[in-house]
Amino acid sequence: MKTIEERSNPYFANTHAKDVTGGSSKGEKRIPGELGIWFFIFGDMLMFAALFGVFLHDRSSNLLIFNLSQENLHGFYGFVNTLILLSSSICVVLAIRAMRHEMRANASFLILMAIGCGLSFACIKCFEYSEKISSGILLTTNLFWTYYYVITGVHLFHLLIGLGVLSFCYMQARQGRLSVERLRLVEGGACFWHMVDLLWIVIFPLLYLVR
Amino acid sequence: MSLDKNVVEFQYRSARVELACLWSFPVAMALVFGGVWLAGMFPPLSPSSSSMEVQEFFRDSPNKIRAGMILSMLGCAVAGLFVAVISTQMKRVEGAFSPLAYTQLLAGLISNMLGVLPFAFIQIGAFRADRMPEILQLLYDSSWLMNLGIIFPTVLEISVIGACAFMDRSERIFPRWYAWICTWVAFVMCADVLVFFFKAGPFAFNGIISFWLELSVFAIWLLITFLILRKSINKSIAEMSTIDSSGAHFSSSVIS
Repeated sequence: MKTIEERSNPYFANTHAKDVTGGSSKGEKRIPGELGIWFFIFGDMLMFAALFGVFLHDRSSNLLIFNLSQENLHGFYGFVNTLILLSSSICVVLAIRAMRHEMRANASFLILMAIGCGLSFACIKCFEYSEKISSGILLTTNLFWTYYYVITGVHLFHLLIGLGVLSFCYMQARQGRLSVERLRLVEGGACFWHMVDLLWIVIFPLLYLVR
Repeated sequence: MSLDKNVVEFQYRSARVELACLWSFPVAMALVFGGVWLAGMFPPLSPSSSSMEVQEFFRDSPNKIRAGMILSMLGCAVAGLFVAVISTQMKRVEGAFSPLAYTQLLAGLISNMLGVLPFAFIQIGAFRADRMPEILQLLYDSSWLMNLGIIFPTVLEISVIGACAFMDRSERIFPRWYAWICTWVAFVMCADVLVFFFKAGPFAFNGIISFWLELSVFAIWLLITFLILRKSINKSIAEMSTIDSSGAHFSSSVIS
């Protein structure tokens, strides 16, 4: 992290001094990304938590329907998608580290890998949807499928936005040397991507595995 | 550089007007929600209820519905002042050419209309409450689907306010965290389009997510927006009352 702080940047002292938390001397501990992105991330996770809450509540009163419907879900797809997203997150972590050390080629390659993972997640998801739809399972079939389509759909929407964010990060990574402000933005983007990953890690057991 | 004393006075007066417009907002909200509550539509009937039940709702106490809807429509009209204040504040960020402020004004107008028309539908239903139940149900459904389902003007409005807040690098009007909150709220509000798909469950127009959660998020956003605008208007009033020596940064944006 030292590489950022060591760069002389007029913005750092003014704009971001308040973002520095923890240690008294700057650069010891701070929140990645700018503070505002965390409003967004926690707000979003709060909404998902509410969604999961009503899902579990409705599940407890329709246990039979939920369990019977769940048998039509292939845990395999969910599992593969979990692996894909986890590896994309690792790529993003490594890419950010590479960017901090100004290893331009590494960083952009790693972000491309993450984007590839995200795209394959979306493809698998679409494949899963089309399989469900062709076997006659729709949004309005029953409450379980409502939740299935809505929760995974909202997550997919987040993932697509995340892909846009990663593309932005890719363009930044190609540029090499970034201002501290820009790097904060890229870090924020990475945090968003981790949130997409984290949400899926909750969604997967909730929809596919919980009994 | 010091500003002409008349200009400062002029700006001071318009800032006071802005503050007055802003404070009309709690009144507007009280009217809208009070009216809806008086009409017995808080929360709405389930979309899965039969047309006879809807007819019963209209027949039960048409006068309460009429009075309530008049209050709500009045509240919507008053809320127009708030929409305008948001735009004038955005204009301070954007300067003379202010596409975002105009978009906010437009989108705010449309979302306001999408608030008035549903109340008008209920009012029309109550006008002849002995109509065929199916027709009353049509009015009731149109009312709530329009109110909650046509969310995109509101999403646009919140997004441009967020974009403007991102532009405000000096954070003089909008703090940066507010920009992120706007982005998030705009994101969350999109989920309201689901009301078209469901007649029961959490995403129906009386459901826990589409109605309760979305409305709470929107209400919290309105409250935050109100507080932020109040703070920035108060700040500029305070600045202007001591402006004689250093009024330079009040540029032409206020009176353009």
